[in-house]
Amino acid sequence: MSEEAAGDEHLMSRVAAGDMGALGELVRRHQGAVGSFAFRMLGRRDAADDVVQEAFLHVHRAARRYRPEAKFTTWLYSIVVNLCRDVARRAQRAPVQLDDEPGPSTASATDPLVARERAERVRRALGALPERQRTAILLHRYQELSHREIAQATGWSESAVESLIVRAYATLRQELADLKE
Amino acid sequence: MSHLREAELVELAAGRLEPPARSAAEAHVGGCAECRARLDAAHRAWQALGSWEVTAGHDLADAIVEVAGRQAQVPAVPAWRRAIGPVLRAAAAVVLAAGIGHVAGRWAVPSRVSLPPVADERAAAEALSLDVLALQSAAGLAETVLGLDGSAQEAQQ
Repeated sequence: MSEEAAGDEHLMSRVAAGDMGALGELVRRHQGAVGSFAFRMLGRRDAADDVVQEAFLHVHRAARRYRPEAKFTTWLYSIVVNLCRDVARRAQRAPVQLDDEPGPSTASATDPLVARERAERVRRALGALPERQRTAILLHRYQELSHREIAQATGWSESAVESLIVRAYATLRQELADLKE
Repeated sequence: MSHLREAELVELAAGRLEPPARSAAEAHVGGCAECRARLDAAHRAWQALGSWEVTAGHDLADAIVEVAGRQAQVPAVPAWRRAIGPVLRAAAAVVLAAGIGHVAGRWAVPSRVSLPPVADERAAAEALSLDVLALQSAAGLAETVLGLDGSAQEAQQ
């Protein structure tokens, strides 16, 4: 177990004992990662913030029952994925305008406008993927989860995850083929 | 070695293929133009995806800790109450349904049932040759008894 993972387990045991400072530390450690995942999934900052808050409140409520059978982050992502699915389902019934935030320019890009356009192209290409493919690819590409961890976080089989990732990358290779580095 | 599987290609482009598999895959790509082209395409897509960076959101730690603290102060519902909740709801539904049925029944059925006149009942029974029914009706039974009594009196005379 990595040092960070061991630290997460230790913080969780403190949260279970009622240490609210440990909960704050867990939030500060992971809110950036789960927040960016939720934002990429939902396309709205306010919805992503709501998901982050609800996810950590769930962590707090479940702390006494928590058993470190998987990495803390994998368990956390399973909560966040489910919350994002709920929000996405509600948004399907009442569509909302996406935030105009394709992200900052990359360091390698010389022209900020070009960089912004690239980011927007990527966002649209990812947004056009079926939900399961998008979930798998976001967890794989940006959150750096392995196939096994994605399977644990989503409840899908490893072979299903591999299939989703392969199909998603194949689509993205076509959609983004004309983007120059 | 056969061509690289798509999943291997993705992991190789991502730099996440573990050492034994990675060295074999790299050796294959070195001698296979087709897989080299596929790997280039996979690598370009991987790089392109990196263009979408997301700015960090607000620091939610203090707000979350505050809300969690408030929630922790609210007394939790005991397990036994959570367990019997569905039973109580089912029982309430049964009582409600029975009550509605009772009231609706009283409202729908007239309190005094108007019976047909006895003469009509008797005439209908006779028309159908239902002597038994005629006997069972109160009027038929009385007349039968009186008739019998009349026959007896005639015989005595």
